[in-house]
Amino acid sequence: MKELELFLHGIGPDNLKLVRVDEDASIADVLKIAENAGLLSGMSVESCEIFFEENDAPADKSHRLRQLGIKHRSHLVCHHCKKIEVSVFYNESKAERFSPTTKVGHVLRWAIKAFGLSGDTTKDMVLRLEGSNDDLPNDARLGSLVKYPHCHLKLILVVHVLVEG
Amino acid sequence: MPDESLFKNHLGEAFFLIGVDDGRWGLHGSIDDIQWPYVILWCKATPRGDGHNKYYFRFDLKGYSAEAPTAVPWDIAKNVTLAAETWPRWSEQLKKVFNHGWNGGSALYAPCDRVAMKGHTDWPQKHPAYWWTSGSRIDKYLGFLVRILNGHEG
Repeated sequence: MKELELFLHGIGPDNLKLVRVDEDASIADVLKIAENAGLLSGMSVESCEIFFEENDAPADKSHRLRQLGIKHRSHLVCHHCKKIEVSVFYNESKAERFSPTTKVGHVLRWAIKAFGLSGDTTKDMVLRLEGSNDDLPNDARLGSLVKYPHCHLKLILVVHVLVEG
Repeated sequence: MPDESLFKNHLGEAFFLIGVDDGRWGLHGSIDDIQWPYVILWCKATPRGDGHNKYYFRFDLKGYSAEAPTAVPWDIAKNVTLAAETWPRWSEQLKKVFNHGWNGGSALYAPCDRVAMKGHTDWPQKHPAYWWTSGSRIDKYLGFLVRILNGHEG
């Protein structure tokens, strides 16, 4: 028996835990662990899927971690959405569908390219949730930002506000 | 929980370890080398022109995490504050934060640095993601540093 440490992402920005799981555990077992760890925000195991790394499709719940090639310190995202519709506003809107495992940084780079932006200023650009002043961390997973039962996100692309006196 | 124990617990939590695994930040030395309240942590950097690809910082974590940290860039070879001319200053944002002329170069001008936070009543609204509150974790300060040292490549 070999134990793996896994980063388990739930629903909501603070729902993240490092858990130890037997590599022979199934995806259904991992969902139970997520539920017990309070990562599902009250949702049932049956209504959630698990996505890992950059895989677009959710993992089969009967499959075991070893069988899926899930390694030590992999990232698993528990989510109710199979895809998240993301619209980004920067003078106009552009939309794309991403997996719940996609990082904000990836969407940021996609948006900069989609709006045809270039130059040094783009390096100081950030994404925010519509109506928020909070810069989203580039390492946040899209799944952690979506509110149940929705499967869409409205973001704005802005230049990070300088820290001034 | 005493501040040192709480900090060491946070080093073992997912929020800190994700940054370590991604190569965005880390602890310099081992957890047993910590001389509380001083802790040396590093952050990766993507310099534009001259600059290092990693910067070390000496944090003073007295009162963690009810009190915000304060930090300075650190020369680990000489065990002193990094010489002013080598502070990262390749963007307008960095020039504001890494301002050696402010407060004698004893802290960073950041919304999560307890020295800079004093008197900035508008910062919680302007910089809510980075404003330190009681219960914040060290990854908030490190996330701020990674953001400004790397932009969207961070």
